[in-house]
Amino acid sequence: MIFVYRPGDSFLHRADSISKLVWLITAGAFVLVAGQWQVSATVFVAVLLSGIFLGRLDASELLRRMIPLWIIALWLFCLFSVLYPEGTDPVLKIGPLSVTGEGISYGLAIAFRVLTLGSSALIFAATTDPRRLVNELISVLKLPYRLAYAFYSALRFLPLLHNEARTILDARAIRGQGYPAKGVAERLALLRGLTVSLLAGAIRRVQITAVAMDSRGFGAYPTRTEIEDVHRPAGGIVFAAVWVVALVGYVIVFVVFGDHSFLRTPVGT
Amino acid sequence: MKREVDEIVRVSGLRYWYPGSEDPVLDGVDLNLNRGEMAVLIGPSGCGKSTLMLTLNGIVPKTVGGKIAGEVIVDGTDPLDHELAEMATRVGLVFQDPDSQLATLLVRDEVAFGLQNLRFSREEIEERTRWALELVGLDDLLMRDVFSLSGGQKQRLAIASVLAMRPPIMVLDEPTANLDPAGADEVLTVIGDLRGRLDLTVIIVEHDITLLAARADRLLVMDEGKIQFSGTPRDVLRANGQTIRDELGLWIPQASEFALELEAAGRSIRPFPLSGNEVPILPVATAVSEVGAPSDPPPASQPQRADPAVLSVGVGFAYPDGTQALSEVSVEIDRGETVALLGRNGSGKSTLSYLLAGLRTPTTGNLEICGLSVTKSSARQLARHVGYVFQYPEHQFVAETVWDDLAYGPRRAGLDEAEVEKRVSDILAMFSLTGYERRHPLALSMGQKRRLSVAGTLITRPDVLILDEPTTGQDRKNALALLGLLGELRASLGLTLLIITHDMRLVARFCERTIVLDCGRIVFDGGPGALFTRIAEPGADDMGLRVPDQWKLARKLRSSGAQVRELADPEELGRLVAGAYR
Repeated sequence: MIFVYRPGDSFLHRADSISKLVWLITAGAFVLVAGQWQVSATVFVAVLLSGIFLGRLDASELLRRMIPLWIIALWLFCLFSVLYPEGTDPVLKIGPLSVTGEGISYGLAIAFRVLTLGSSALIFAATTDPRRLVNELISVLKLPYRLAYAFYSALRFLPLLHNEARTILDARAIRGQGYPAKGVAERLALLRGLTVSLLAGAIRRVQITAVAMDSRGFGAYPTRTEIEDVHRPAGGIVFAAVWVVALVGYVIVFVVFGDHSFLRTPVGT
Repeated sequence: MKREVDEIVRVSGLRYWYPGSEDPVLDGVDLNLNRGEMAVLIGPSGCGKSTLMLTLNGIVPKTVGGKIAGEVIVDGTDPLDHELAEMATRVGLVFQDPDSQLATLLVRDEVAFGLQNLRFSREEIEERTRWALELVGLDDLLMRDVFSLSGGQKQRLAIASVLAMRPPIMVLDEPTANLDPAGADEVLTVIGDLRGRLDLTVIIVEHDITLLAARADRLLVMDEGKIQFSGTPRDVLRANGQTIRDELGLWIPQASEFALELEAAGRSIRPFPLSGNEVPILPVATAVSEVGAPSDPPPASQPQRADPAVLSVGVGFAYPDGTQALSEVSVEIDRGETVALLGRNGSGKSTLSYLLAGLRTPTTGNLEICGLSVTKSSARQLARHVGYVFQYPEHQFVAETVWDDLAYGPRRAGLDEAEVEKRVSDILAMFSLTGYERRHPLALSMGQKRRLSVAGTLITRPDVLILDEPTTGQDRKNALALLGLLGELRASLGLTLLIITHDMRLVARFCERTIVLDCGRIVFDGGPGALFTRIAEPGADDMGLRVPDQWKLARKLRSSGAQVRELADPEELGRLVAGAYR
């Protein structure tokens, strides 16, 4: 699983979850409003450096855990480079398909968007203790605790579902299904079967969990006693503020200078 | 000093219908329990045991819905008149699956969870959390991640999380079903200890009372939505043991089975025994030795090693994170052998079975199945020779009807449709699944699902069949029916069976060889009798296993001069001794 908490004592580990949530949203907003791929690439590099230096995450492990993101980004880059309809600057022609400079820029922008969104979420998950996140969502953002715990329970189930999925795939493999999966039909059958089995197991688990929680008074009162104090170090708040200021500055500068490209489909420069 | 009787649970004329159901699952339950009592509730699957327990704190019908009639009074209150939060301080619930019932990620948070919901002060939460963890012996694991705990520790944590609310009644629904013997002992010891210290009323729902009979004050037997028998375990088993075993199909202690055979011959053992240690054997043994009795069969001829089903030489396996799961495993298993693969949870049994099934590849050594190298053969080639029945049958269903699920393997093997139809029809009949062809596999009962998973594996006629905990969660009737069928197939097809289990009754009754793993290495390889002899020695490492009572009984008889089979089952021993008296 790529979204796993790694305990540690880095700047990002010490920072409060809400500030990191603001950082996560800001980084996402940055690449969504940025028209140029260079801006998205810069934001992506800044996110990675934050994870490596401020989160003390091992660079090689971080890049390895991003393998699914690299694959998706590469696929989107190829797809959008070819499919971009407004290109006038052909760079390469493959049969009826032509790749233009604008198409490549567009593909790069999309790819860096995906990489930024995925890597920032990964860094957030790796440096944020889920318990602290839930506590701060309830205490700082005043989220109803039933809602926060729904999220918490989902986190608890992830490793269980992950293990169960592996067992189901093994159990089906021994009967010859999907080992190796041949063709789209068999892959779809495997996926459908896996989903049904996982859902059946998840429903059973969720029912037990719900009864076990209800029988311990969960949801009996609108509030509950929190046993942890909330600590929000200034460093985390400043870190989030710097990102917000950068985003706001970027938007203002481009508005002031009259370039509204961030409001349109990204194009090459 | 006579203890004052103080009724804490009163249920009378209780009937309950699930939403949308016309037939009541509880159909006139009457039950009274006194404060401090420990009761065990048994009954066939679907008889309403768990539902009855959920009525005690009001989850049925408040959360589940449905219609209820009759009276339930718990600790002087009617659960229907009180909020669930209030009932949480009167009735604590612990469930079978340790993973699903825990709500948080940290030991301390789990125990504090209920107290936080009930808005206790921080100081009170801290004090009660430490108190509850100390009671279950987990106080040194306060800040541990719950995923790092063993199964037994998770169940003790679940108990602590309920205890923290200090309810006078604790209900445990099959609390040891998912645990190995060591984990089960941990949990039952804690329950017994708590009961003594806190005057708790404990109700345990179980399929099998072997471990609990001697600890419980009351045995309640439920069937068809009613309590059919109630009394001390000795009285209930003596008077109704045969009905419970043969008609309701439930496991009873082997010592009680033995005593019932004697009772049938007009001989009583007083008090009626609930464990092997309670059987006074000497006079019985003398009687048997006088008449003579069948001895162990002569040793089998030297096994045929020319073409073993499994040949493993120095096999090792390490997970990608470096964890060494198996080391230097060398073993030969002959065709037609029935081998039990034993050991504590995490000892490497499952890893070894996965290697044998070709689901993982050894990192060192050489492993061959029916002459095929696991490392050099494709999964498809291996699948022709090895079948694997997983612990949870739901995991391996590949189609949406029973018929299609059974037909899947033969069709994949390229058999023509007429042959597929013949095989499916035959196996449906063999596994008593005829009539269920169009059902979705997930809509079958637990026993039917288990049979379907075995049938779906056997239909391709593998040489080696691996079964993971085939009797777990099954009542006696279903378990024995399945084993009987496998025994027939073993004899007729020469099937090699490899059974991963913690059930020593199954090992004694069905297996001719045992392989015990510990920390990824084979620490014992031999017959069940030799294994039981070894672990029963005073001071010996029990390897996480438990000697079955039938072996203890047979050993007592043999040590007194009787010629009885070392692995004779309790009915056989009982009939033998009863015959000697006649």
